[in-house]
Amino acid sequence: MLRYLGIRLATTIGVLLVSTVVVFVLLHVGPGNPATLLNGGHPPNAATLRYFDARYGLNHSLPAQYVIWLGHLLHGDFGESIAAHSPVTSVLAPRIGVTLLLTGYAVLLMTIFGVAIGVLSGVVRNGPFDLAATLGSLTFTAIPTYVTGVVLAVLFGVDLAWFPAEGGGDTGSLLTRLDHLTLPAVALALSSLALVSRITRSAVIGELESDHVFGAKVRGFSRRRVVLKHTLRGSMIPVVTIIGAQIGYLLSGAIVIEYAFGLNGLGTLLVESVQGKDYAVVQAIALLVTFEFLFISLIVDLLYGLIDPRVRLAGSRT
Amino acid sequence: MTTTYTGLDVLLEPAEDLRHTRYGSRLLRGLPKVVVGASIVLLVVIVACAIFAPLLARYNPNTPDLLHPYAGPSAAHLFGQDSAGRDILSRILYGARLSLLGPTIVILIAFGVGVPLGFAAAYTGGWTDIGISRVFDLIFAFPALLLAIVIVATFGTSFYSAVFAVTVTYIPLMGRVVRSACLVERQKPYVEACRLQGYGSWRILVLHVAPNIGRILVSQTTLYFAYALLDLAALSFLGLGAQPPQIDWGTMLENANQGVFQSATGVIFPALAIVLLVVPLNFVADWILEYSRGREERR
Repeated sequence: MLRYLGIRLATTIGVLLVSTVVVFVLLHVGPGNPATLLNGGHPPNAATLRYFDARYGLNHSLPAQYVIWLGHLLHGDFGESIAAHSPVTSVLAPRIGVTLLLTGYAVLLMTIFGVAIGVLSGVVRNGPFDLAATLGSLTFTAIPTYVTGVVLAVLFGVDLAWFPAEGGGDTGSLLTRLDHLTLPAVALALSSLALVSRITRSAVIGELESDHVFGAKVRGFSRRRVVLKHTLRGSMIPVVTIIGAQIGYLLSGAIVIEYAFGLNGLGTLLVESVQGKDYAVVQAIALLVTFEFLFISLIVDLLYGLIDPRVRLAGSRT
Repeated sequence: MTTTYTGLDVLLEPAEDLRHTRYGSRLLRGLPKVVVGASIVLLVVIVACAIFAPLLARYNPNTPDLLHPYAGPSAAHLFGQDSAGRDILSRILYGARLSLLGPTIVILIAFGVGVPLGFAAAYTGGWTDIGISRVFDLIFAFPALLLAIVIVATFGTSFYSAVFAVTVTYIPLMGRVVRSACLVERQKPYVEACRLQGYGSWRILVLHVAPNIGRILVSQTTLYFAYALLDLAALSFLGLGAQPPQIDWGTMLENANQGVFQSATGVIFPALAIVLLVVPLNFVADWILEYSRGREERR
């Protein structure tokens, strides 16, 4: 298990490093110059340009710039934001909370409701609840988050005014912030929730038909015990897979949702920084999001081992 | 983006699973023919709207009417007017053009590049396979939308750089579908039989394997067309895709979202247009896959 963990960790770090190279090269080979953008679209004069390049280290060769950037990164320094004239860390710090809270909220909604609806419709297969859930999930998997977001904002934010339709309530207490994040989180979670419930449903149905569950029924255990003790664990492998994959999707979906609801998170910042060619900020956000993405797939892989001992044994053998 | 999105192609699995199980309710065992028929009709109508937009639209989609911003639906403006008083119906009709053109380009290129790569990876195996698969893995290491945004950052915000960005994320998706479908087919006895007869691998591939994975491929391509449309609309929604005076449904949604407190109609109609295109595409993709299974069973 330890050996397996080591290999997985090493590959993850490797992929993360290569991904930073890709983003770095992409951002620096493209046309357009941040100095020109800052100067209102006019090319600045040579002296200003030299000062600018020296200040942000743009006068080195591309590989040298990357090595310098990586060196700073290892010391926890993400570089300097060109647009904000301040360190990237201080630009990111106040915004990272909103994004994490939003994504976490959406992940919770997706997991709790997705699994609950899926298990219920699997158990009461073909009943009215199952039918409604299946039709609902068929529809919602096909509707993108930003459409749901905008429509929810109109329905519950403007017309019914149950929840705030815009802003993050950044200054308020946790409860105010959660209140502000409810609509965005629901919008973000809905299509993933639908998918999770479908996968859970078919996993539960498959497991309910297995021999050991049949055995448990024959031994006269209550239906509740059969479902909770004998069915759930065995059916969780595909569910964990899909939840892991969907968390990655939620991370990037949050970018759009933040923008739709005017939340001051990393996503909105990313869009602004792309438009302003603020290399350091884009690079930092890309790194953070990719890191979360890879980290979650690592956790999912480890969870397999916890759920299914066979995976654990196979892992330690390699 | 959906996605990103690497989780998206799992969508196909539960659908298959639902129909496979003998216990699925009748409604789910196959889509009713009516639904499929209605979906196809709807898709044809939308494509026709895009092609004949200049004939159908009563107004120039970019002509403002500043006296009537956010006007509700009326006899003159069936879907109402947007923040600058432009006719929403005309904008939806014209917007269909870029909204359809974008994913069409994405799919054509992703298909043209991804399918040969997938074939090559599955068929030559060895280092070619490892090389191609590693590059695919690297692209999958990014959340798709994030990678698309970084690529747009590289080439500047425009419709075509958004199309290019989305294409890059779809090439490995197509490639992987082809690769895994090919690997499954290769195990089957008929391929072995062809080999024994001394056919070359390209002949086996083109004449024997390709027809067998054709329908999976067409079904998956239909689904990816829908997702590419959603991804492009998402980029436009973020202001990173089509730029004014270009119109697509994503930019319309963005524009209306800023004035959501004034009027909801501007939000509802482009949202409806997107959903009415994407949901039928999903149904059709499902139906193609099912039809292929029906054929296999008859054989």
